[in-house]
Amino acid sequence: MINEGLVASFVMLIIVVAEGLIALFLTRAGKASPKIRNIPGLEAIEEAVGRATEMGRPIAFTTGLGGIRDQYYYQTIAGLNILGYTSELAAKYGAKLIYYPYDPTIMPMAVDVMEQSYIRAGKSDEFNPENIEYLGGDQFPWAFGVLGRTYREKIAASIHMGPFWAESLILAESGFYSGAIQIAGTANYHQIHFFVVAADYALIGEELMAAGAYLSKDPTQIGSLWGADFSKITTVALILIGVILTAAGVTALNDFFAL
Amino acid sequence: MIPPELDLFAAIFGVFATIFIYSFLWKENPLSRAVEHLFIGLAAVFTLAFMYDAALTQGVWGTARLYEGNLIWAIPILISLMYFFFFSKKYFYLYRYPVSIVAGIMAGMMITGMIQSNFLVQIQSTAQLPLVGAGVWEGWPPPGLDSIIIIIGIITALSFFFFTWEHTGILGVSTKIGRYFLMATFGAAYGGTVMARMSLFIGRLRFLYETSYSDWFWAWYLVPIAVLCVVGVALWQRSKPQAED
Repeated sequence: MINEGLVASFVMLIIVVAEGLIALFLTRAGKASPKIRNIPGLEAIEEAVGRATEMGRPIAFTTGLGGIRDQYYYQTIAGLNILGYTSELAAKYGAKLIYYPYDPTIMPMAVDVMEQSYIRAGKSDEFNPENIEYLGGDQFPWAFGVLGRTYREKIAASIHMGPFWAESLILAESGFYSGAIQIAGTANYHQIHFFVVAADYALIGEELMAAGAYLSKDPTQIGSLWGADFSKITTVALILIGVILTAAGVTALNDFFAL
Repeated sequence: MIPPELDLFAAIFGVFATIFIYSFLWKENPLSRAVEHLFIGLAAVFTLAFMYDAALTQGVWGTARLYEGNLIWAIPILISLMYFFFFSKKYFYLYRYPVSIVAGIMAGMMITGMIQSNFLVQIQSTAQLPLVGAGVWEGWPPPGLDSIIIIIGIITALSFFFFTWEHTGILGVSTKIGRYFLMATFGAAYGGTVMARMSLFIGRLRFLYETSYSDWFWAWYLVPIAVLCVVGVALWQRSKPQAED
C-alpha cells in the first residue's frame, strides 16, 4: 500500500501531524496557552514604522522572489502576513508603505492584504494601490529596481521577509546606503548570513514562519507553532536514540529509516 | 542565443549597460536609472511572454491538452480564470479560490519531501556519525571529535528554534550554544558566498575584456566611451543646483 522506501516517511508524517493537531486543538479549546518567546526582529517593526513616520519618509517592503506556485510559497505567505501587520501600523501612523512584489500572481494578494489592513486601521480611504509597484518578474532587474527606488525615495525603513537569493545583499546594502532601519528574514539558509550581517534585525529561518502566530496572537496559529516545537523535540530524541544505538552497534533505527 | 549579426549590438549594449549599472556605486545617476528602467521593462515583457507561452501555447493549444480533446484540462484553466475576478467589485472574493487551491496543492506536494529531507535524512545522517570503532579517535582532529561537534551543533541549533518555551535554564544554555553554532555557520557561508560573488565580478570583467566582433575587441573602445558618458553626467549633475532634502 505504501511505496517501498516511504514507510518511515509515512510514520514520521503521522507523528508530526498528530503532534501538530493535538497541540492545535488543546490551544483552541483553551486547555493550554503556550507563550511565544520574544522575537526582536518582529518587535522592531513598530519602531521602524514609527521612525519612518517621524522622518516623513516611506517604508519599503518586499517578500523576496517567491510566489505561491513554487516550493517557497510558505515563506511568501509568511511575508504577506508580516506585510499585513506592517501595513496596518503604517495606516495607523499615517506612514507611506511601498510594496515591491516580484511574482505577478502575488500582486492581487498584496492589494487584498494591504487594503484589509487599512480597513482594520479605519483608514480605508487612504489606501492607494499604486503603492504596490511591480518591477518585472526577473531576479536582478527586480533587485536593481528596488535598489534605485530605495535610494531615490529616501526609504526610512526597509523590510524584507520571504525567500531571497543572490539579491539579498544588494537589497541590504541599498537600505544601508539610504540610512534605513532594516529588518529582514528568510528561511533560505544560503542567504540568511547576508541579512544577519547587513540588517539591523534579522529573522533566522523558522522565526519568519512564527511571525504569523507572534503578531496575530491567534490561538490556532500559536497551537500550530506549539505542535511544531513538539516535532522538534521528537527529532532531538530520535537523534539521541539513534546516536546511542549506532554507538552500541544496534542498527534497528537506521534499518527502520531505510524502510 | 544572440544571432551573429547582432553581436555588435549586443557588445555595445552589454558594455554600456555594465558600466552604467556599476556607476551606481558612485551614486544614483540618470544613466544608471535609464538602464534600471530598461532592465525592468525587458523583465516585465519577458515574464509576460513566458507566462503566455506556458499558459496558452502549452496549456491550451499544446499537444495532449484541450486541443486533442482532453477536456480534463478545462478544469485548471477555468480555476485559473477565476483569478480575473480580482477586477470585479461584486465577485472580488472569488479570486481567492484559485489562490487557496494552488497554496493547498503546494502544501500537499511539499509535505512528503519535507518529512524526508528535514526529518528522516537529518536524523539518519546524524545517527550514523562515527563515535566508536577503529581509527575514530586517531589522528588530529579525530573523526570522533568532528562527530561530537556536529551532534552538539545540531541539537543546540535546533533548540534555538523552540518558540513556545522560555529560553531559560538548560534550554537557555543550549540556545546560547546553538546561537554560536549558527553564527559560525553564517560566517563560513558568508565567506564562501563572497568568493562566489568575486567569481561573478571576474566573469563580468572577462566579458568586457573578451567581447569581440569580427576579430575586433570592441569593448576595449566602448568602455572608455561609457566611462566618459558617466563622467559627463557627473559634471553636469555637479553644475546643477542641489535640491534641498
